[in-house]
Amino acid sequence: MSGFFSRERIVAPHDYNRWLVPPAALAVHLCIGQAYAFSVFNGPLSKVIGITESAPDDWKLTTLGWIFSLAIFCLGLAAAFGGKWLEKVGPRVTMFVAACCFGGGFLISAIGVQLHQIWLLYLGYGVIGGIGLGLGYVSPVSTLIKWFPDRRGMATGLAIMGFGGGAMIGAPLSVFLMDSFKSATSVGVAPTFVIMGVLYFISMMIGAVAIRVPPANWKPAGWEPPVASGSKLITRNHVHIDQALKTPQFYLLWLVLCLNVTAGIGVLGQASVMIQEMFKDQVTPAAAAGFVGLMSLFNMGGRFFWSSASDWLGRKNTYLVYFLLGAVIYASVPAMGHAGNVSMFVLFYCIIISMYGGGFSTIPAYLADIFGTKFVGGIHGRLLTAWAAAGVFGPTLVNYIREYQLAHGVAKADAYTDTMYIMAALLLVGCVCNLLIRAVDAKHHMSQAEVDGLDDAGARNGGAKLAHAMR
Amino acid sequence: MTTHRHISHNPALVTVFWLYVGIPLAVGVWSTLQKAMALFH
Repeated sequence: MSGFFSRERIVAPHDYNRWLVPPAALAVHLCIGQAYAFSVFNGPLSKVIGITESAPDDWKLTTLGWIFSLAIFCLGLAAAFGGKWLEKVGPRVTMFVAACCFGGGFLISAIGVQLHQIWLLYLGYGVIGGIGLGLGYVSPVSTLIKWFPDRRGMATGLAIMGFGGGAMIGAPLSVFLMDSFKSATSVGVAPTFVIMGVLYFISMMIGAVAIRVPPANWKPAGWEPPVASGSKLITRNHVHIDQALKTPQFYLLWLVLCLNVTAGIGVLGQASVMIQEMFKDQVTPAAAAGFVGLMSLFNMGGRFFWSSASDWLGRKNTYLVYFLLGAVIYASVPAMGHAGNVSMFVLFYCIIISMYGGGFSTIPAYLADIFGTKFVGGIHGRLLTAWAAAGVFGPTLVNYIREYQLAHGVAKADAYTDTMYIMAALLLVGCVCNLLIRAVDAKHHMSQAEVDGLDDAGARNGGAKLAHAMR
Repeated sequence: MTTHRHISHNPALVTVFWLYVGIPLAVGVWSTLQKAMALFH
């Protein structure tokens, strides 16, 4: 990789202002977070031919649902396979490819809408856009951890908060554009896809242009890495990405993330229906929509709050809070339903969802603590397969239990009781996995010669060269 | 290169870059918050 995209072009001088890096990461994450708002297109896409109402040849909602599912599946795959590539080529190239895939996915989907070919939407937004999602998600995370060794949790929280907040920008923007382009002969989705594809490409490219990696051996002014770490879990060594897969810690962390996400994602998709069924005469559909909005705010805020708090609490303790507090809250929800206490129900759910978001943003810092920072981007990418698994497992579990309960004559208001207890139990299993996590055995650490070799290669590729050129 | 060095230290650039990501996010949060208010009516 040479020229503008080479690693040497993005190695910052020693006195670079590191606060320029989080907005570069946010510029990417705020765009790809749009994925959570894709459902706003489902209604109009189901009326592309009929315009005012669905025609027989129009796409069904079940057909359209596969677009988002494919995108999330490809996100997981791209993060898992692209993470190692990211460590090799650096964040700028990865962000550029992510921008091309995500923006390009919208453009291909626009053609698909225009020609009414669903496979083009599957290929465009689902596969190509999904690859953009995965690469965009992992690309700035390890860079931020290297820029903020003193506040790893806060740094990853800032970026991953953007993924939670992207839907809040994407949803109203999509609705505004579709309303603007809507006519008697069009639902306005195709031109909306074109505009959004171009806008997101530009915004992600601004992030790619602005991103910088710290020079070798850089550390914040006035900060010294603790000589004897206060926690045995925070290592000063590094574990190679391939070696990490041979440690029990990787699989325990995989379960920790999977179980935390399963508990949150399972109810996130059902939130609107759940609150209306549990409080039948108290919550209107409009209020339920407000509840979903409130949860998305807490999902986003939790990503920053909990991850920042983990810098003080420690990563293991933070996950203990997620699991224990989460289990207590889930076990209490049925009682809130029986008591008709909507306010407490809403409060409890907001806390649960904030910890669900916090789980995503705390995990990269946890990985950096356990495996070191050299390959954290790639290891993080592979761990995100836990997200994909939870994305299937969580909603399936909630839906299956609900259907089973209803089929056996349980009232709708009580159909979620067992679900809540099962979620609480899953969180307790996650708690055990978290408690089992110990420091990685020294046999898995890279030798000093191997680390020096990596640093020398980085410096040879640009660090020293560029620092010299800057002067 | 001197220009590049100057740019990387310009506080105005840092502010502008934060506003670039912060303003759309703030608009999105405000819009979501307005919808969420329906829950309390």
